[in-house]
Amino acid sequence: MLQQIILFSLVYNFRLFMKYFFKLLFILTITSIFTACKKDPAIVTPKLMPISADTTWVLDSSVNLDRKILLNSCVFESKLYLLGDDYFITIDSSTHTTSSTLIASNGQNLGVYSQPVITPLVYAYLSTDDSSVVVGLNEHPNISVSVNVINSDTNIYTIAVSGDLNEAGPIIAINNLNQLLVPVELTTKSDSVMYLAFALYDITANTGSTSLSVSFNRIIVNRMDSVQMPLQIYRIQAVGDDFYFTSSDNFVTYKIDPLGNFTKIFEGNENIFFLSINDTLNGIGAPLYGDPLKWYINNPGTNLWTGYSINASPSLTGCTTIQNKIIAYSLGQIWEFSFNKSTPEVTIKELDNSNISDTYITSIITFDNRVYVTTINGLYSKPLSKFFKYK
Amino acid sequence: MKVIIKLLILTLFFASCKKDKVTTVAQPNMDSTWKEAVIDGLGWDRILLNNAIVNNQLLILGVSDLIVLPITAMESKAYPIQSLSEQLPLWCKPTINNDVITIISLDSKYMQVIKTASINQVGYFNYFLGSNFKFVTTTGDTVEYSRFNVGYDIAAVNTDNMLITSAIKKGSPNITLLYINDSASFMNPYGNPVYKEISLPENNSHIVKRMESFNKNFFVSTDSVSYLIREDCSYKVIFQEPVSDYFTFNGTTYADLGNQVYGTTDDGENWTLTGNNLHYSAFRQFTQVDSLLIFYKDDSLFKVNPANFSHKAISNTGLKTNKITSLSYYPGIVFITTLDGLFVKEMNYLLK
Repeated sequence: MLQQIILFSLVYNFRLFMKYFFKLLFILTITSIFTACKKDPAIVTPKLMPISADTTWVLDSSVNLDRKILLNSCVFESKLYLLGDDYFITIDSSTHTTSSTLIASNGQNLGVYSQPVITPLVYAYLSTDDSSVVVGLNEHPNISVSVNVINSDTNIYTIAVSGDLNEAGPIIAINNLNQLLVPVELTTKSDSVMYLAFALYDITANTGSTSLSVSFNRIIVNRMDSVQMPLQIYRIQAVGDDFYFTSSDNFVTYKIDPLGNFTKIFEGNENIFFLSINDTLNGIGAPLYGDPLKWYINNPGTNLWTGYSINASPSLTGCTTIQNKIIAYSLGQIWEFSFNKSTPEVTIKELDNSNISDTYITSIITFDNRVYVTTINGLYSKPLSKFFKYK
Repeated sequence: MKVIIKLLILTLFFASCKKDKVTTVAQPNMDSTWKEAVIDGLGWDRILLNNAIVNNQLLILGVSDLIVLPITAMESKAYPIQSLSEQLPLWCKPTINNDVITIISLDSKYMQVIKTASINQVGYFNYFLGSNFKFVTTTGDTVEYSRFNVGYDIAAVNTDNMLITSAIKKGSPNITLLYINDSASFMNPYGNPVYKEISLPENNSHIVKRMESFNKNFFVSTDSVSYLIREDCSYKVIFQEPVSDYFTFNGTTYADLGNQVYGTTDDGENWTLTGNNLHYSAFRQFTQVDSLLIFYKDDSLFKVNPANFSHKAISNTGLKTNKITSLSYYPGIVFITTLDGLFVKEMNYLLK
């Protein structure tokens, strides 16, 4: 009986199996086709070539939205400080963090009249109210002091504003002694002539402290040359303890020492960038009106300068040094300048600007083995070892 | 017969598998990405603050230029038509209302009103509201102001070409609105516009942030209170808190208070709670795009359900983390200006 049941079961199942064999085969075939079809895309999907971070300028995504408008930068220890139009941004290489602080709100964009300045300790910018300068602490960006320049001295008429960032570099400067220099239009009681003058302030601030004070030191007037209005100044720079500026009134470039003494150093064009290389001070005179480039070299330890006129006329918005080489920039272009004094000839080599060609560069700085470019269109960087890649 | 049917099914499967390969691999759908439009300029020219469709072209207010983009093709190039004498401030939004542009100087002492029809003759800022300038009121009084008191919108213009703005009046502790009878009179640098003053019951420590007009009425919001301003210069408080955005959608005007959205169909006289418990405190801006209600915030876009004001993110791929400043719709195309460039997308792909 049992054998009959088993036999019946086998026969029945075999018939069932045969009945559904082709259906099963069909399903298996379909399944295998599906599987094959799904695999196909993975096999044939074209791989996008990754953008090489080694050779191209890469946008830093941690600095985004309205923080992308960047106006200046500075490095202090493990921190890269960025001055934006409204924000102060700190990138810390030791903690790999990016933090931002709103330092200017309604009516207080930083880069409106001239480029704001930043030292390892403090930042400073001209206020849009025409009468004050704001100084803040880098370590605590929301701690700042607003200095009413007009109230500093009864003879000050106004701050001498020369234009906007499209035309001018910084027109205030802070030297290594933490002295702040602000150009002012000065009028005396004896006559109504306005003189080229400067207000000098002492900044008291220390690393690790939240205390900040700015005190008026003195008015510095250049009576030597009786420079009068117009008081157009394209840029003021601090190099070491001294300040340098050029007056567009007489195209003379002056040095002001920490005691307020004027020294006339040379005559030339207005837009001069001072750079110290191997303890020698260089002045790159960028032409404004198609004039040839001028290169001034200081005889170290003296006020003697040698000037060279170079047969090139690039329009520059900034200069800096990277690995002791002079790097100049304008809009979204970067060049390496080298000078052969014996010829004398300047070699200008344009550096790679892929990804930043449509931007407006405001500063270039090395930090954490990378070169960072601040632009008003974002922060870009590439490895230092790949920076000197020529076009 | 069964075999034939099976063969047909197999053929269909094969065909569908082949289609899959074509659509997902060989031709990835790139139109879902926002495309950057070319602007004839560098650096500062790419910082764009507002835009609007005017006379079949996209008018863009840049930080230092007025720019137009002819909408003849998606590949058109935007080009500056006027350089401004100084940069516009980034903390407020130059306005485009009813074919009138208003821009303000960095020190808030100059305002310029421009008819969009005459944007080629913009030139320099030509209106001064500084300490030496005096307005003459409709009653003949001479009044001095120190600066405009605007924190985001510079002005608003209604359908009768009336303009409203705010200024700090010397000697007055209160917020003062200037109600200009004819915005065109504000464009004459040599004449004094005829205007009325509206004194709001808030002191000048408050800033007028939002000014909008729908039909004849104005909506003004300071950083603490929101008002309805009528053409006869009467006003009433509509919300005891600031309104983040006023916008219209399908004939209803709305006020976004963050946690609530109120709607009005009688130009602001009466408001009805439309959306509640929205828990959205950040500043956002709404706009109607075709039949959709959209809002944008920073570099993100959201589709809004107008029934309850819930929202859902829309792809922002391609915007490169740039802050959105304005959005315009031209049939079939959506335009976005940002603080770094102009971006476009076909309407068909907006939700993809």
